[in-house]
Amino acid sequence: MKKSKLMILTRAYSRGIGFWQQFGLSDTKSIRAEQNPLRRLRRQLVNVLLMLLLLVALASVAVMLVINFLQIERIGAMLGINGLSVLTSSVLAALILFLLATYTAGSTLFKAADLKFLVTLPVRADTIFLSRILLHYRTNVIVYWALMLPSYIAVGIVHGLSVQLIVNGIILLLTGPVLPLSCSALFSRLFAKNKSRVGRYVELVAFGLLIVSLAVLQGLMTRWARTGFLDIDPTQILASLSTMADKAISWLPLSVLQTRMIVSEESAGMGPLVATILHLASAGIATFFILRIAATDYVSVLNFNVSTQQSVKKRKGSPGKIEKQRSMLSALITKEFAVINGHNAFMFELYAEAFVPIILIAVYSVGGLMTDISSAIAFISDLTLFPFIFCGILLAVASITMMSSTSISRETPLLDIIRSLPIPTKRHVQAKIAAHLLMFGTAFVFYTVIGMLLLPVGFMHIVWMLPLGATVMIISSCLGLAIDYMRPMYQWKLPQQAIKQNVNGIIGMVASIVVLGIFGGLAILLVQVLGLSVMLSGFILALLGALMTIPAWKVLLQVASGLYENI
Amino acid sequence: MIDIEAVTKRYSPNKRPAVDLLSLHVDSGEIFGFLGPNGAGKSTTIRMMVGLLRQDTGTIKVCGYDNIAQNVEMKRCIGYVPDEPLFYENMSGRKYLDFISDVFDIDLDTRIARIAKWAGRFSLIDALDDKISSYSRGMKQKLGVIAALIHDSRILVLDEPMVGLDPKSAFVLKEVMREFCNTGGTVFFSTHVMDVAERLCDTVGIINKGALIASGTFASLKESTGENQATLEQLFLELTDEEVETNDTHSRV
Ligand SMILES: Nc1ncnc2c1ncn2[C@@H]1O[C@H](COP(=O)(O)OP(=O)(O)OP(=O)(O)O)[C@@H](O)[C@H]1O
Ligand SMILES: [Mg+2]
Repeated sequence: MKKSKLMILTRAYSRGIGFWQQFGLSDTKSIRAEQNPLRRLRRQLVNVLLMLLLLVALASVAVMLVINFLQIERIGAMLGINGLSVLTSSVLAALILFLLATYTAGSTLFKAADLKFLVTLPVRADTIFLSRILLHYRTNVIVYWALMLPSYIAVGIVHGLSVQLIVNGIILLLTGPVLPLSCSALFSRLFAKNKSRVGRYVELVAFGLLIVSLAVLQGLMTRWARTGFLDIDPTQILASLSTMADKAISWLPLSVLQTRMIVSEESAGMGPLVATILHLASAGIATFFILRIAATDYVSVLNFNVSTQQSVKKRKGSPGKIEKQRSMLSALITKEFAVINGHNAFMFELYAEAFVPIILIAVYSVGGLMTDISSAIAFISDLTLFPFIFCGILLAVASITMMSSTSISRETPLLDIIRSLPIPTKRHVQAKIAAHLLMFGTAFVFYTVIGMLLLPVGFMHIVWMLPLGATVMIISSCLGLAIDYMRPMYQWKLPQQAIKQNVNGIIGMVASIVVLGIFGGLAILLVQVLGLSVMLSGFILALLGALMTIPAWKVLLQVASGLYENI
Repeated sequence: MIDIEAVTKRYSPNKRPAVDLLSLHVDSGEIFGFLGPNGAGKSTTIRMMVGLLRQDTGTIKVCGYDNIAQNVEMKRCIGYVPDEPLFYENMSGRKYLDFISDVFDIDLDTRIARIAKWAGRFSLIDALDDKISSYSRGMKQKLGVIAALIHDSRILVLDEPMVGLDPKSAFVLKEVMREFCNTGGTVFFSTHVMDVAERLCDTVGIINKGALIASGTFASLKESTGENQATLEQLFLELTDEEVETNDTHSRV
């Protein structure tokens, strides 16, 4: 009885929205329902292309990880620790999963809109809670798999494929994520009833921690790689690594058990079966208690959220004044930001995309990595193309974003208000591009100036970098918007779906990469092949970019008018 | 003012049309009540009228503007209150009205005066600086009505505007609609409240299963059905019920 209710609740969530649809892909059923055979074919084709794109993106990341884990496994072999890669990945995956899941736990477990309705049903609170945990598992588990699988592959390559690897691998993939996810639930529960702004910023903190830990990790790896390859005394490093690994082993019994499940070690005195049982038992007990605590007073937390959602801060004192009349365009730009600020998920994603590099630079400087980086850069700064490389990297940071390519998806629930107003398509689109430039253009200018202060790039190059940057960003923004206008994501229940799980965002990023690639190729052509000066090439590229904005704009207008005017 | 000519709209090709060869005319200065059971096609018609949805066949003209060819011009002369009050929740009510005023290019003094006037009449002044997310259903509904009134359009199109309003606000809204027409405006609204329609409307139209089954003044409706003592409620039940019965006999055969 209870179990069936749990299944109903879990399934109810995804009713009406197919698995692929939550990523913005059309599902097969809706394609089959399409009457026009030509259109059906086109939609099928688009779908297949999109899936291929996703697979390629995932595969390339996976290959990189596998290579890294192979190296780690080999180093482990030198230290006499079998399965070091599994140990690393299990710690890494648990940590990253925990941080990433904390960032969305609140909205899935405690604040989702449908919970208001669910609490009124004759279902036990524990059942609702458990169903939300299952959902939480379902949305986040893929991250864990993406990080764990490469290490299994590395182990398979080094130690050979075995039944133990496959069976325990599967068991671990399924059960491994449970504990970190439970911890994230507990963590966000601790702040779920906090009336102050702390509660709201827990997610931000988790996100910040995630970024910082990724940066630190990356920094460590680079550092490690440098010392590992450049310094002379490998035995010393091995010794220090070995003590590090020993420390890790004594600190992380669960990860060690997980490692022993995958790779046996005679000295451990424990077979894979014992390791599995021990791991399942200990993780299971821990999970049980953590979830018990996280589920305390679940109903009151839900009611708390229902009631606080109604009474958002009221401004005291003087009544809000209307200071001045704005143009339609600036009113629309304000609206763009009102949409972004309407959901934490949108804010974190977009503001982080624009300004995380600042955090990275700060972390790197603190970690003393900046000197390493600038010495590495000194090597390429002698190249004639260096100003272009510099500009290209900064543009990659500023223009590869989901800002435009999820712009319409983000506002679909409110689309009717804006569509019923007498606003020409042109203005809508201008406002969206302007919002893009306001956020990422500002970031670009900022990074360019800082970069020029830190690195040996002549300040005079700014005269072509800024216009070139502006045109490239406008082109990327136009392409991203056009993509989202063509197939906005209409039904989303959690804001994350409109942005993080939206294929349009990825396609938009790929489109920006292609644009950058084209300009990079042209730069090489102009400077290396034709032998023009950097300054002149920069101007030519900026001019070319300006010319390319025209067709991009035309296409965008055409597509966008279908939503607003040309209904 | 509003001319709907033989309009048909299907949401999907293998279902019956949501609006079926509908023709309607509303003159300026009139209050038109659009009645019909759930799912009859009222909201669909209204969404086509305000330029949100394209009809499959037929033409719609509001203020002389075609809803497809002159979409933006047409929207400019309509104040629309949707059936579901959705807003940018983290704006305050005042910010939202300010946003609408910017879109309609209303100068500063005028908008301040109008916001004060309408928010005062609908007793929303105190809440105007709170975030919209803190509003109740009825408060949001009122904000939607104010947003439709603020740009002084010539036509008001309201989809079930009375839903969620307290008695006083409902009364004010009825008053406002009447005044709006007295100054030359046109009101087109859908409702399920027969008393309101009976007392307020100059003409009513009853739609069922996408087709207009009756329209005209209340008096002419009574005449055509030959029931001079009937209330609009009785007429409505009779007219829409008849349809159901004929359909039932169809399906039984
Ligand atoms: N987005 C949609 N997709 C498919 N069918 C729809 C859609 N919107 C409405 N319909 C169908 O069109 C028909 C008319 O719906 P409409 O919303 O116009 O009814 P209504 O008269 O406004 O009803 P109510 O009084 O309940 O508001 C219904 O049969 C409905 O199922
Ligand atoms: Mg309706």
